[in-house]
Amino acid sequence: MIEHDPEHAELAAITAVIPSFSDHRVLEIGCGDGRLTRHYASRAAAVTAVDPDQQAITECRAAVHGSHFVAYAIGFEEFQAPAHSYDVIILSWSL
Amino acid sequence: MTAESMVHALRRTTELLTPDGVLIDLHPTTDFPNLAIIHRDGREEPLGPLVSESARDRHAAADCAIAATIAEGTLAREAAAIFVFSRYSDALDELADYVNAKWTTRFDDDLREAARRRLTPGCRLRLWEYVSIQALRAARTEVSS
Repeated sequence: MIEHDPEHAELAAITAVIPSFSDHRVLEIGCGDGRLTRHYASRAAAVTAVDPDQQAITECRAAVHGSHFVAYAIGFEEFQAPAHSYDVIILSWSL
Repeated sequence: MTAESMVHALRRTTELLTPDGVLIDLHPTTDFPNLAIIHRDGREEPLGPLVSESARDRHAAADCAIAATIAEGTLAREAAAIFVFSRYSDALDELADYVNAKWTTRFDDDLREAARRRLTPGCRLRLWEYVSIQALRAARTEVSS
């Protein structure tokens, strides 16, 4: 089994720029299987996660729980949302 | 994704952000990922990079796209850092298959054989790369009175 970032370097780097996700509405683009999402989702007010990989989205939905969380198997170019909907947008290895 | 389409995506994110919102970009740097063996005694033996010019080009395009959106006044950089992201596996073939399935980079056969010759009982493989993180905000237009 492959272990991804057991040092939590990615989470530490994000925490350094956003100390708290509390009350934030977050859009994560390129969420994959929710490796990063699961670490902050419980603290955010709302989380929308998108990724074009259907299998990854299925795994992300299994990893992240809560009525404040939605995930869509679409690319960012297809994603639609009203202007000014998010306090934080994460481009998660997706550029 | 081309640098131009990345610029377009970045502009879209600024439309979706609240005025005080923050955009976090994470993407690998243009340095190639590196493979190493960690032997049971803790000694780390570098094996070499996973070379992929197409992956490097994509990461360079991401850098250019962010620089372009800053230069045009769409985004302003608030913070930037680089960290090391590592993946570990007990099995060489598992790691190679993962790379070949998930990355645009191919796990080079020569590197795989070089690694296989150096495996020792109880060792682990480490695949690591540098990742850039940037915090950006929509640039504000100063209004003079």
